[in-house]
Amino acid sequence: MYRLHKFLWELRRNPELAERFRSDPDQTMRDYGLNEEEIRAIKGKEFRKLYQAGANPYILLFGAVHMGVPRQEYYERMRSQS
Amino acid sequence: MGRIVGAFATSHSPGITGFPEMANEEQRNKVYRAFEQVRKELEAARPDALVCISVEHFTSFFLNNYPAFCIGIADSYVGPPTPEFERFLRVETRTFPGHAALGTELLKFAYREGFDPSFSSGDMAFDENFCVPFHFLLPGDDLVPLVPIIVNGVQPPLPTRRRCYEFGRMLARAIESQTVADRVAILATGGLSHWVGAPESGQINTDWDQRVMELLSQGRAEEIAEWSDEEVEAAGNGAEEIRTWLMLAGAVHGRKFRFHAYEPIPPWLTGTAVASVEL
Repeated sequence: MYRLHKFLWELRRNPELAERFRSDPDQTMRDYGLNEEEIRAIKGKEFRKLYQAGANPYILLFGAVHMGVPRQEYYERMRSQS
Repeated sequence: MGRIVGAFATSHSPGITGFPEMANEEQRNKVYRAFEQVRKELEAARPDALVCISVEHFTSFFLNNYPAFCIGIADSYVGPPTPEFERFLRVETRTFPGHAALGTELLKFAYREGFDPSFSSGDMAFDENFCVPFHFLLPGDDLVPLVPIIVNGVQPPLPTRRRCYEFGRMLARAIESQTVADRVAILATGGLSHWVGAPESGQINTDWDQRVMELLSQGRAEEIAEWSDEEVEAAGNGAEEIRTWLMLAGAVHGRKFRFHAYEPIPPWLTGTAVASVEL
């Protein structure tokens, strides 16, 4: 979970990383040491699943926003996904 | 010898400045009037320094080394730190002066008294923690020098609420024992009940908020410090920010809080409260 947190945190602070993520999400996340399950969850915007797995909700929300997910959509996904 | 000339506590929800139009107008105006009341009281207190206590939301610190408590001893602080953040909060980025000498005195006193906060002598940026309340409380260019104190309210394991209260009691002794700032005001920001980034976000636990406010109004904050983790978790991850209010309450041990406003505002995700302490 530390690597996922670190990735999401740096996404917010590093515009170059955000750009790299947009052009090649898989490789960018692999470079950060995220496992395949985490990569799938991020690409699928499965925020609820990540939250339930122990992701910090502040870091998750800010990371989502910097992935280009509006706050409203983040919260809808957080509430509705099973 | 320093003395505490003002003590205040407010919520710091981003919506207060960032998306005000989403709140009911009447509620919003009550909150704004309460901030204006605190601004007047803070100005009338004529502080030489403002000790401001809050959490920070991973704006400066990260999980590689997260402090339970951190005292700012820098000459200046910036907030909000990025143009995106500026747009989100709808407040202009400003540079705030730091009271490095007072910060250092408080830090040294803490160590002598058996507390071990970390310190920051630069690059501690402010997010909504201070930028939202300062938008109302410090509107001008003639800014009082600050000593920010950060407590971890965002990533468990968290320091105990009892320890936060005791930190506040120590802080009062530290302020009284130093000679670099005569008149010191304290501002705590955070809470009350809210959930951030969670499925429950938008819910507000008004019963919990009322219990907190009742005890604070009666000068009985120390009782909140003894609540179980479950009792606080029932008011959301954001309610962990009650630590900031408890640090303030410890500093004014036994004094009564006077609430200028309390409005449960779901679009701001927060039980929004603004208060002063009767010194």
